[in-house]
Amino acid sequence: MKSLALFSSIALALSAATAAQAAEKKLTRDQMVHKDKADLQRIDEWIYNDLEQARAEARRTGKPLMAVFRCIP
Amino acid sequence: MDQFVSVRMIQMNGIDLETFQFDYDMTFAVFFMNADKTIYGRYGSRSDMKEAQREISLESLAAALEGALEIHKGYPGNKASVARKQGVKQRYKAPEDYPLLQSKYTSSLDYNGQVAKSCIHCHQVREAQRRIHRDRKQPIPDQLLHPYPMPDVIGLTMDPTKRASVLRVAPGSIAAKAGFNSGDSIDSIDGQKIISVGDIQWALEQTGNNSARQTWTVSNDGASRTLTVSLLAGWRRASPFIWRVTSWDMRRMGFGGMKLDDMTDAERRQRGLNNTQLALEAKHVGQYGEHAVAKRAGVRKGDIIIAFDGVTRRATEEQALAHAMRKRMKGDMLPITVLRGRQKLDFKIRMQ
Repeated sequence: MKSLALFSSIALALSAATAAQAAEKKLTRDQMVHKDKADLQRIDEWIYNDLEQARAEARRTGKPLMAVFRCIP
Repeated sequence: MDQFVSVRMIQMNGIDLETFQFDYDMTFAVFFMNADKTIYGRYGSRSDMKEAQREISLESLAAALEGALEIHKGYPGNKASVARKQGVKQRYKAPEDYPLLQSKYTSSLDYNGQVAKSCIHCHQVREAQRRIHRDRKQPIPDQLLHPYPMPDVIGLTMDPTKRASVLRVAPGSIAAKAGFNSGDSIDSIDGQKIISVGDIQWALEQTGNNSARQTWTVSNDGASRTLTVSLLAGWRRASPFIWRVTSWDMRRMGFGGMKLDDMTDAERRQRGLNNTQLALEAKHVGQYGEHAVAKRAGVRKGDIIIAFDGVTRRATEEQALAHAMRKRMKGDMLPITVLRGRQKLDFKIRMQ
């Protein structure tokens, strides 16, 4: 169950931009960027585009960081 | 996932290039690291333009996550085992510092304006690096032409569903001579713990293009072996680059914005061309701005290049671009001869 949640979380975050593009083809690129930000900021497990916030959280919790570089298609 | 702090980065603006060094032609790259910026490992590999996900999988990503957790549990006592995974010194600390990018971008996205246009894409870093050499009229070095070689370059086809496991060993290859077997798991390279194929690529990337020897430890069926990989000078040139998105910039610089295809044997027969001569068909000729240099020189889509710069033997587009990037500098005029119908026409393409 835990591994399913892991896969789902990663897949969800990585495909957020692709799914948005597929579902709403009329969005401009600027709108896609804003929507991507709004969509991912609703997911508690991910920090959006802020490495320093992520490092601070890693220091606070003692956890390692996973930084995913994934542009919006 | 709850054992990591996860952050998604969507642009390269403001990114510390001394920490985050990776294959900039990828659209998906992962760093596992400590809060102190020590890199535990990398994940993400690509070798095809269309099949971008051929080399990756959720299974191998999960395996890399496990590997990163193993390292984290032993950190900082095991710091030596990741010492060579850290980025190397850079002249330009952030992408927007590069001459090509500094007048157009800042260190952050413009969310109040044209946010998409304000974004520096990963591949733009690679283009900016190559442009340094091009603007100085220097050959583009092999490390920038053939970055982050896949293990295939030494004869190892890796299993995309496992952490770093060999699927096949090419007969007669560097890996075959070193003694690799199918099923080998790569545990370390020169003392550095390997948690992904991306880590193998990093280890190869740091080796430059000269002859070198690397010590790889592998395990198979519970038994461990130490193998020596002997790289010969120029080894990196076997790593294909034509699939990379940054090849488009090289098409602009070297062939005036044309996309070329080496004609098949059947196509050659139809046109009365033999199998050993040069026959690169212009499948696309750029129409605007700097991508229209070939068009303005007189080249048309469908023209077949049968000679360039004294080269008349069969060559792929990649070989032709490599020639232009190594031997012809910005401002030079590259002579080409094309076949258009039954006519032979000569043109000169200005190198950019």
